[in-house]
Amino acid sequence: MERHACNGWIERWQARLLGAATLLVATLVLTITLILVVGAAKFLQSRGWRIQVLLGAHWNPLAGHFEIGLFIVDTIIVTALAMALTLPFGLGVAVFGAYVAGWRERAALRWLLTIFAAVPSVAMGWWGLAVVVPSVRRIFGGPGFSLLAAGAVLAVMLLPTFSLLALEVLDKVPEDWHQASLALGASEDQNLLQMALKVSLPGLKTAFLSAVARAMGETVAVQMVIGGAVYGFHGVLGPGATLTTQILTDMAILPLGHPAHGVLDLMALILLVALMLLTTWAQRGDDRP
Amino acid sequence: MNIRHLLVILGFLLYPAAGAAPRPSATITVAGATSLLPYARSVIQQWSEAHPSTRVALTGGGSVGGWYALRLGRADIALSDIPFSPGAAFAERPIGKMPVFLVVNSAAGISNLTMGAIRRVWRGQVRRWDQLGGGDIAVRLVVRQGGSGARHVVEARVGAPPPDVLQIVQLSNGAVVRTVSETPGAIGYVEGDRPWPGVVICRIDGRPYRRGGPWPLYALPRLYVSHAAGPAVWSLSRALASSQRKMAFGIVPVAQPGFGG
Repeated sequence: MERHACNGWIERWQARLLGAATLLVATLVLTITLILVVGAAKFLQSRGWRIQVLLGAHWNPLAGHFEIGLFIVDTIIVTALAMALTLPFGLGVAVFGAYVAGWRERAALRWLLTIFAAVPSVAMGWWGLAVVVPSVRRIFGGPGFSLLAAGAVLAVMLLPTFSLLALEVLDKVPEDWHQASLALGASEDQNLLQMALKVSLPGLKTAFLSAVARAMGETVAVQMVIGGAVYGFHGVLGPGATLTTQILTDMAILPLGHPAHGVLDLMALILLVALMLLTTWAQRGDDRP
Repeated sequence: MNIRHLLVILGFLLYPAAGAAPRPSATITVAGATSLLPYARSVIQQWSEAHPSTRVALTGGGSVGGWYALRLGRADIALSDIPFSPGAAFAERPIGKMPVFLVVNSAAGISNLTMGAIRRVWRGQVRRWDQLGGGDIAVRLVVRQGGSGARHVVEARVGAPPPDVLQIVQLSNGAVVRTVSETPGAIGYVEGDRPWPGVVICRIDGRPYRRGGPWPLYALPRLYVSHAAGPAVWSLSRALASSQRKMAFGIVPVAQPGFGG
């Protein structure tokens, strides 16, 4: 196609600007990663590369104890709790939206989930303080501030994201396939379980892993309800701290320039690597035919 | 997109730079203890009216964060309620003293504690309030994060809780009060002589707090500034150290030693 001279000049500049923006983003990501790697490496070197830093549970930065194993365990537990609560509900909402709801209900559901997904995490934290923490205290006893409360708040936060993604995936199954499956004698349930969910599995895996990534990175809402305990494991009904909440808590006493600031870099790097691995795994699932 | 669109966007981008308002010629950064931020904000607002050519940036970060920011040249004034050794390079100026209160959930049935009883609670030797004449309910400790001035004051007097004592950590006075008011049997501490709704403010050794009077738990907020700081920084430091607004923020004035610049 022939370009108008003026438009061609503008388009060339547009292409350069867009390229520069992409380069800037890539540079930012690499720079942040590099800063974390250097900070974490310096910190680990200062600790003699001891594995105890990653596996131990003695955290008292003001007294020079920097073992982050407990935060890694709590992060895994809170994420697992959140996903265990989100998965059945989210999948149920997606199946309802894709196969049960009429077009008006489906449009309303999408609108509702989109609005719900946009609720800021601090608002979810307030909701957690007002509803989830007292409920956990009333039902299970204990202080209420707990890994379970954090997992429940996270589950509610992840529900719209996971449901929307899963709904998109289920919507992509061609109508012809449903007709063919039913024509071969499959019941509605068999059609859903044996055909639709099976062919959607790679996409659902991507939706699931995206939700896991968000769960691992969430900070403020979790910090408001988890209780922040750094000594010992008190069970899912007791308080704890995840990697992100502890970074938030101790940023003030380990500021940039502090000799031990590197431990926060290490905690952030662990999260970053975990999220990179999850994302890579999710994309591999997505690429599969 | 055509050239007209580009020019409109450029115009919007450049518009603020062409504004007629005078631009501040200098910036002072104040950082540190979050408990002092409301007071500092109020003083800075008043000081800025008399010094329109100087912009003041106020940020929290906690006492330790403010101190490090000052040492690393990222802040001009550090606010702290934890004492640091200023050495030869920095000057220290007291701001006043702030009472630290023990706040208790009403279900605990406790309104007075001796220092000895507080120590036993903090050490985990008292696990239920009925051991101290209160209700039949478990003790729940609500504490501030490491580096908090209130935590420093309390632990300096009664010691740190051992690891086996379950603690709920909160990041602000407001969060502590809310948690204590909603958690049956909870006890925590807050800094500042202000109304704290929904909780019982505990008398200590039978004495209620009277403004400025004897009290076993006082934090001593102070500010630090570099000896090499410019006149504007020293001027703001003097305002922060000696403003008459302290009482409105629960800070009791103390005698001010000479403060040069």
